[in-house]
Amino acid sequence: MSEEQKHSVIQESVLENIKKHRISMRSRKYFFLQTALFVVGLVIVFAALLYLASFIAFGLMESGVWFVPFFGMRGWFVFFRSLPWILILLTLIFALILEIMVRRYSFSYRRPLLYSMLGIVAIVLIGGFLVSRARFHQQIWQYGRAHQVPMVGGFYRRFGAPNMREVHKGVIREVAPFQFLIEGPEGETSTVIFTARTRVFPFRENGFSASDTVVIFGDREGRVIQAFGIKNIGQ
Amino acid sequence: MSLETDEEIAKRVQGGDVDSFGVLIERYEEKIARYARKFLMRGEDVKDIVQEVFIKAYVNIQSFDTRQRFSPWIYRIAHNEFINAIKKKERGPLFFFDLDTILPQPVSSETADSEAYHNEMKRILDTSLEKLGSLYREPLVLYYYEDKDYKEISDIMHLPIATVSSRLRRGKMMLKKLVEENK
Repeated sequence: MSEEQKHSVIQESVLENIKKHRISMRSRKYFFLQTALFVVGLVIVFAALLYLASFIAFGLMESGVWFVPFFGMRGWFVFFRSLPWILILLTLIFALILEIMVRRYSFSYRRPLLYSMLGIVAIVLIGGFLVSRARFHQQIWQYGRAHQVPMVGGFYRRFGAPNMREVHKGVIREVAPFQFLIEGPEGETSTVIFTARTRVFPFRENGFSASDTVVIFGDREGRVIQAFGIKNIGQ
Repeated sequence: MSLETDEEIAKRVQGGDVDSFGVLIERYEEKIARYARKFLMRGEDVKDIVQEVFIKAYVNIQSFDTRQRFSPWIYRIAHNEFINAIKKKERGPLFFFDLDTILPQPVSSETADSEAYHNEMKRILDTSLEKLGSLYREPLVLYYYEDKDYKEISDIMHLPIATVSSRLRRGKMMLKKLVEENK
């Protein structure tokens, strides 16, 4: 059979199958729905990614872990040990899903994977930081605590502001020489003892004042914290 | 009718003109069959695979945006069909982890090839194409036989333009090495 005859066989066969309704084209509606579902999926994955990234940032700030690298090598060690690795892993999985999803668009596949991955990471980091600063998580957490919503309260307490052994955040209530009293997020009070060797950021000549929010880095024994470092994060 | 663009004909097919689809088959059958033969390096079931490409094209024709070019769209369908055919035959992962698609690569100029060089490469390809892996064979086939540029190959294979460029460069180097060894 010659090449040309073969071609006509394909043409005839395809057209015959179409005309006998053995093959039918999918409707425009089908593709519209497919695209719409895909876009909805894309938005959901992106929103989940932003939520997770902002929640991690919120949790780190709320627990005070965000500030411990100020205290040198020991601070960095505690910082890495305290990172919510499960949430970070989950965020990476969502970022990978988003990367796979956007890879079908020419603006993504025409460029090396590294570029689009870096783009996603940059958007998520900036977006996550902005959302974490917008009091979005603060409000959910407060609502969860006020209305005793077990899921929300439990989730935010476990992942958002866990009690670290070496990192303590609170508001100064009373100040005395080389010690002050802080009130933690749950209303509990602790005495913080510091010495001239304690690292204080930012250093102030007039020391600490009541109603300052501080992050204390140091070991706790009962209700007393021996401060290795103090980060004053203002009122 | 022959003065009509592929996109205009595709629009008529979308409107229900089945016979116009025959015109598109006429225009692309030989090209797709050549692409299949050169890329898949087998002759026995090429006809079935090419037929499947046109069936898929008809079934999905409503997803074609007639403001875009028809050629990369149907070549993309063909590419997917050929990859499926290779997967069925070879069983197991087809393309292993490729750093070329992840990291940025230098893009060499497309105008570097003279016509004489282009023809020479085609002649070498005719004799040595089967000795190349499918990773390098496909972009070479699209570039030298189907006259696609880097951007079109990128759209057909869904690869970064820089990866297309580096695979073509490496494929050509491999071919030259094969020719040298056979001298």
